Amino acid sequence: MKLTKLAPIAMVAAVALAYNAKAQVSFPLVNLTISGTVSYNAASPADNGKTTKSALTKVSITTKSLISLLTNSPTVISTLMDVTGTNQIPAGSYFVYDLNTNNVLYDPNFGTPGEEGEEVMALIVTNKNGFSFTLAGYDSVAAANYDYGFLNIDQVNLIGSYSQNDTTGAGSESDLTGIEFYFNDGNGNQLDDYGNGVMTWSFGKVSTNSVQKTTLSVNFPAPNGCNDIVNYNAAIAQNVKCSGKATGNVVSVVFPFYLWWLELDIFGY
Amino acid sequence: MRPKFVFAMLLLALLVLGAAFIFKQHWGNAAAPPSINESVTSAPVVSAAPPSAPVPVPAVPVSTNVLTPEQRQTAIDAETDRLQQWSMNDDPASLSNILADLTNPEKEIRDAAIEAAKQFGSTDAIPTLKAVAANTTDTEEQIALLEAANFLSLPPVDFRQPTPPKTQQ
Repeated sequence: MKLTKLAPIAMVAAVALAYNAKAQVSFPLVNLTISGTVSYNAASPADNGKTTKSALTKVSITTKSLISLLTNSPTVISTLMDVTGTNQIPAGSYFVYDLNTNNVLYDPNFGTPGEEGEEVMALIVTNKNGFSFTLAGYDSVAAANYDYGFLNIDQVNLIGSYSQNDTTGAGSESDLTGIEFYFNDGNGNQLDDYGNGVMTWSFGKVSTNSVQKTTLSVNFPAPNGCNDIVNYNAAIAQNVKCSGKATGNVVSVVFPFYLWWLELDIFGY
Repeated sequence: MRPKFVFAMLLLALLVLGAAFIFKQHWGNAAAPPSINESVTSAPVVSAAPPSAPVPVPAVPVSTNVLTPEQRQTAIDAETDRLQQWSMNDDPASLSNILADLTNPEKEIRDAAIEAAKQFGSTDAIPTLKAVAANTTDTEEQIALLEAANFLSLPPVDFRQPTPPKTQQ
């Protein structure tokens, strides 16, 4: 067999290995806080006979208000019912950011799910009592993708600095990457914002079973409002920021994260 | 010795003994050493009355002098976790707890408290945020406190009566 024929097989195998390797690593879920402001024209220009005026309306965004939008969206509630079997988001729910879950939103135009699609990193609405609703995924009842939100880090443009003790394996790392924050309640409100994010890692010493206590802090400002919509009005988001922190045990192969991530994702890009 | 004098002396002695007993009890309690396990800062839960004008409550300091750096960080993380939970509630007690942490000795907790106040989303927090800002020497923190106060003065993005669409999704 010619080598050129082997190349596609090798590529498929590399991608499969990459996904498999990701699946074997479990990152702690980052309890995420989201805040920002959005400006838009809530009303048409008004003319008093002498002057015509139009004003901007500015509103705030918080974790609580975004969850309120989801709660008040019939589209979201329908999906929620299909996916979780419940028709309401419990009070006190919050967002977590899941580096472990890279949901692929399959493009139906490419036929079989899994062949092609957009990979997005999961934003999950959850609470302390076991409720969990991933904001992007596949609704098997409706037999369709749904996409109410995600928080992506750039798959390729991820750079970092780190310091690691050769003996203990402990150390720290600071990564820079491009990020995209997407939110859509399916009810006339959408945020699609970009920025440069910082991921700060603190790794403890490596234990005998090759794991190390790891703290991950994310500071993801998304100041660049790109395709924002508020109540069906064109809008511009400002100062949107997603931030949070989590601690858990992670297999030591992940440190430094930016190199591990790139080794995995460069094949899938 | 006259009986009246002896009686007076006995009465005086009883009074002195009684006073000594009371003083011993009071000072004995006050001098009890604090527990070294007590580390954080769980801000006090105050009354459930509506916080119409919350007053800054001095936060209980993290006793950093008896904690290792790891223990200190654990205590800070625990308090910031609590702040995040309080921020998702809607009750006055949670708001009071958040506002109490605006004056916590740990900067990381104060920063988390500012964010929690924003997330809680009550205009009742504005006077306290401004009052704490007026008493803060850290310029960056002052700005953050005032920005949080301004943020809370905005209405939240929460719509129940849609207007005619102007753009296509």
